Amino acid sequence: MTTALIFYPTALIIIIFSVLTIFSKKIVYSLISAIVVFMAAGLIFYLLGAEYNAVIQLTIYGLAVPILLAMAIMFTDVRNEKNTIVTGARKFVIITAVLLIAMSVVYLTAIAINLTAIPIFSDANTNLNSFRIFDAITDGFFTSYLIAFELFSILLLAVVAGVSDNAK
Amino acid sequence: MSEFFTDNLIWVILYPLWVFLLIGTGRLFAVRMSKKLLTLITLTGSGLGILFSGGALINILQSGSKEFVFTFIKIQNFLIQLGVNIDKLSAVYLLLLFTISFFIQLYSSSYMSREPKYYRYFGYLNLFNFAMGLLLVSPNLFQIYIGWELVGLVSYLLIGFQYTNPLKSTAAVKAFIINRIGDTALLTGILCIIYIMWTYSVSEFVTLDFSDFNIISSIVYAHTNNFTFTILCLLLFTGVIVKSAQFPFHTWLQEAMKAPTPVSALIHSATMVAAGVFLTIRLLPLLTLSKEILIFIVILGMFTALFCSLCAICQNNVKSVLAYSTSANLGLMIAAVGFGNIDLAVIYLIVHGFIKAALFLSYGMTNNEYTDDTGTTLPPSFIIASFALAGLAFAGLNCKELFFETFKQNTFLRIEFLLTAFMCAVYIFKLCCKYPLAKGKRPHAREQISVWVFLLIITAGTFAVYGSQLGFPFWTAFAGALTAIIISIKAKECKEGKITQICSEGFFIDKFYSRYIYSCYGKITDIANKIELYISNNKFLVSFVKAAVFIAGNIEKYILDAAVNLCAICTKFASRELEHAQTRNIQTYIAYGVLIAGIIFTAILLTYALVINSLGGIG
Amino acid sequence: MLNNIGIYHYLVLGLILFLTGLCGVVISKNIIKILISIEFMLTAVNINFTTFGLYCKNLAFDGYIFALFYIAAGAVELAIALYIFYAMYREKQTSNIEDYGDV
Repeated sequence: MTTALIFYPTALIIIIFSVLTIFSKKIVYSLISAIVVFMAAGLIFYLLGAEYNAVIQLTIYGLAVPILLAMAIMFTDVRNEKNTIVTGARKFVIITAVLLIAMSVVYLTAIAINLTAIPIFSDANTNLNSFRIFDAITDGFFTSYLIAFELFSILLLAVVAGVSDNAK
Repeated sequence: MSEFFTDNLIWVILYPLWVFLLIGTGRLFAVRMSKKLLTLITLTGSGLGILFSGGALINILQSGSKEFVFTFIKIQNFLIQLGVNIDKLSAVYLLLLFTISFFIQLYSSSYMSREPKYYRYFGYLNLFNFAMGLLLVSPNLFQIYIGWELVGLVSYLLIGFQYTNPLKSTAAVKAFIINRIGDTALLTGILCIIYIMWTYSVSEFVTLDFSDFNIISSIVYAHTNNFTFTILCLLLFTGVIVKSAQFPFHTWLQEAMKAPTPVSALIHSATMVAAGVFLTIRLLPLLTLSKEILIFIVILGMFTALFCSLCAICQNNVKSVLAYSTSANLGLMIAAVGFGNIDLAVIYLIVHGFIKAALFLSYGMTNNEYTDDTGTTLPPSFIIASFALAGLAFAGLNCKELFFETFKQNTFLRIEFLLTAFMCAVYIFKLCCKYPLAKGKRPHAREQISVWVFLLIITAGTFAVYGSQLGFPFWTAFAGALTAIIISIKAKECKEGKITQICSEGFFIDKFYSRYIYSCYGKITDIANKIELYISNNKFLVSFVKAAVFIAGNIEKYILDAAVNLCAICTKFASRELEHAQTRNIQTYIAYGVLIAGIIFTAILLTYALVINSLGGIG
Repeated sequence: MLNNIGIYHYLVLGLILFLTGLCGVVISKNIIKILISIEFMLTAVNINFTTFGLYCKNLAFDGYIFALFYIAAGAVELAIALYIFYAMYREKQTSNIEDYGDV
């Protein structure tokens, strides 16, 4: 019950603020709304039992990414930017596409609720334990996804090296 | 009560790291911290370290060693644990580390007071305290390796502290690279042990804990043949050789003397180089299984002692002499460990650490980085400390007597040891006679306090270490001192021989590293050039290549090029047709792409639903 | 934490966030706003991954790991995108994407 009490307001906040992000006229306001969305997404991760992900989400998307974006906004001259939303044919195209996808996915959901026999969908793991999840995550990192992990570290290194080398 | 110290030792070890991070982040955000506050924080760390490690030592003497660990990484049945393992050895080492670093930090606060990078310097000192503490309390080989790398890094940072000076930054890089050799060897050894344990261990988890290192050693010994085991031990021991500046790799210690003088005292003569001795003692259960390795350790240590003493005699620079002397004395310690006399090694380590610190600090009192050999002057405390180093008085004398006692089964080692003691007296008294006493300059009170505390500890050590009988070592050292005085009086009339030059170059080992290996590289390039010349001069080969090139050219012209042209024509045609869809706006493309994807998705979904409906549903 | 909401609510939330991000990418003119929208899409994907990681018993929390990888990838992507944006901004002096059509 508590989960529902937390989930629905958080979901509402996410939706409202993500829409605000896109439609607000000033870029700084959209950045602030975006921070709210990222933080709320962290709360959603917490509800899903992924506490580690929640922490990472809060630190990276809640702090680091907004700071980077704020730096970028500071570089640019925002005073002259007035009309930040496109009008015309493109808007109709995208809204049509979005509605199409949304309707089809909702339809899929509606039929999938009836298809409970699909084996991977079961109830949530009720005996969640932070340490068990953490063990599973580290096991995954160092056994099945070891190569991916190494590749990602190389990627991060390459980005750091490349950006610092080119930023003259 | 003393339980408290043991339980909370970990906070004392972590405290310097926090101070380092505080300084680092503070400088990053350009926060001005007053120098006094910074010094106070740092000194608090080391002072608490002295208190806690002393308390822990008392507690351990009463109630035995203690271990707290937590799991850092767990992969199936392989555990990397971090934690604190305090036994007698590590408590004594910690006490030595914190005492020396406390007084050296006090000394540095006046020595480096005009240094613009004061903050960075103290940050590094704190990082060093943390790294060395981490190494000393490590419960297993992994944590030792972490600390090992960290101290190497701090050493590199401090050697190249004045990095605008190209000489010093080159020296830092050189010392670091030589250190990497040992680190790599050590890591390879650890990985070999992990592999063997992983394959053959019967226990649930593979941890490489020191508490069950006897079992690990026996498993490793049982599952390797003699040759492999020797190689494994040699790999681990190579790490020790490099870190402790033993024979083939002792040159990095010379480069390390480019660091500020207090750093030389702290890192490069008293504590960090002693990490090698520490690791040898920790690995002793493994090393004792092979007799050849023990003999090798003793021979290497004694040879280094002799060799580096010989080099030290012919040096003129005070710091170089002290560096060679450090290598020589560490050689003695390692030989003592190889001989099985761990107590003597630890005692001599402590005594030598204090003596060397006192020597370096008193050198730094009257000289700075820019003093050349002609302007060097020595304060009286240097001469007092050199009496101790030569083995004429104080704790140094007692230690030399203990060494003489230890080597009593072996006449050869005894004679070699006496030679070393003789030469030790010669080089240190040669310095004392060569450079004049400092006059007129009054050093800062904080510098004096540090030096005299060290001298006091050395003097007190005379009573703590029993065994002085004025035996052979005393008289050889005495003779050495006399020789040194005679040499320095006669030095103006004598000409320098060839041997002196060779010795003063350190038998060209340093040159070997920098020059001979480079010339090997040049020779390989020469050979490659010759092969190339041979091929280009051979007529048959050349005509063959020409024919091949002709055929390949024709193939390229009529087959590959045609294919490429076909592709190009096709692409041109396609692009001309598709050009009309372009609006040069990426967002439009995305919108149309999403629309198309949505249509496809919906179509698939509807088909799927239709199929399911026609089949009469699932389940 | 006991989950009595069920998988679909999370998935629909992820879907809505993703579509909002998609709209943002297509209809906004400011480059930084487009970047924020891309991050929305990544976050939505992460929510989906985490949901599946929780609800699919035979996957042993692999979804959580994927989500972590995605966060790292997103950070990298943002850094590079901002770098490119800055490099272009030095020439054009505008953050309106319609001025960059000739790239």
